[in-house]
Amino acid sequence: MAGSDVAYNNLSDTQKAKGEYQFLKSCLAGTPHGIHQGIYMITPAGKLITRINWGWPTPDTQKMNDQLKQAIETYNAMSKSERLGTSAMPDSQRSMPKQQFITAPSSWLQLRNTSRSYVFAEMDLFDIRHPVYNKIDKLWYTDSEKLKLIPSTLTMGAPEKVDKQLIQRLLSNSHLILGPAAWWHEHIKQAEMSMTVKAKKGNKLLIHYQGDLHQDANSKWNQSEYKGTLLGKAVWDAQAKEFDSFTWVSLGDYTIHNLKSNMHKGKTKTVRIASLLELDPKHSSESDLTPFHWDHYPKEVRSQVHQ
Amino acid sequence: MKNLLISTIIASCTTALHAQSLIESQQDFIKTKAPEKLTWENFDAVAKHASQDNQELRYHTVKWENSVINAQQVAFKADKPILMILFFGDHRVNC
Repeated sequence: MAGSDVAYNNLSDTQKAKGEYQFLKSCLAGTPHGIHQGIYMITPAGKLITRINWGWPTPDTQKMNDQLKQAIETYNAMSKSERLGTSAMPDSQRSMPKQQFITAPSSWLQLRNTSRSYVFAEMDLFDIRHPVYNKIDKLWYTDSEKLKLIPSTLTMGAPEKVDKQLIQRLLSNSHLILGPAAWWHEHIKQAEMSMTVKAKKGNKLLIHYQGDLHQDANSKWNQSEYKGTLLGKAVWDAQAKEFDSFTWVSLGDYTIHNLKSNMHKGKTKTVRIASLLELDPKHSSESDLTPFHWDHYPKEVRSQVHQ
Repeated sequence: MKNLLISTIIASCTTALHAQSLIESQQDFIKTKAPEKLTWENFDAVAKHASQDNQELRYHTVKWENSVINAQQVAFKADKPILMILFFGDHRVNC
């Protein structure tokens, strides 16, 4: 199970009164901070076997593995009633509202986005920009938006501009950097992208994309700047009206003017970041993930998706 | 915190099968220097750096239950302990 301790702690009193929250609260009652970030092994009966996250900021994986193995042995040595308690919790005892899944129409262009920084001076595992960490997100374009990523003229080698609104979604929703910074349209200083048909074979078109991107913010919530370039290639099936493949890659410098002591270490303000957007392979663990800024998508886009 | 927890659980799952530490499995990311600019020649290399490697993708082979009650119901039926990760956020970006 993977979930948010903050979400559980922020439930209403009515929700907290139900069995699910009480189960969790009771499980973690003996820990220093109660319902708090961490990795735990618990039984279906509601007993904490052990906490297994150790080492900060460098995880002590040996200790964690030893404790994981010991926890499993401890569980197996328990009696059935100790392991399971009396019953599974009924749905009536659900505290956390059942998640409303939003699924994009299958015909939409659904992209999976990952980003990672390159090595930088003074990098430290405490720093969220460290290259061992990466960011995952989704970017969705509707059927009509998807068609705007195909050159209107199919003349080979003739570049055509990509609709600025599509590029703005890419930049405003932080797809080329590591974290979800607060961008507004006026922060976008340059959003130029061209697309060119490079080859044709039957119904298939090979399209190349090239972009120059710059966003710069100095607001109460965001004092940062990104400057980078994008290259991309895609194969469009004109008969099926779908992309067979789609890959956008960007490389740029991201500068945080005011480093935060709870997220960053050292004095390095600028890191170089690589980002990738490709056709979403639809990992099973991500079936319930929407774009992080889905709520910022235009109303006319959101209205096309039903829960 | 979320990234550290995810990296840790990946390492734990990985280490149970392969004798590799967290840092050893991700040496490529730590050693790779940034190119000066993006070109078609380094397109694949930059894409690879931005991607998740096989160890990181293992995290996504797990069908994580997203609530305690769902996990308890499944675990009760299967008679298995629950591995519970609590973090601020979800499987996407850090806040």
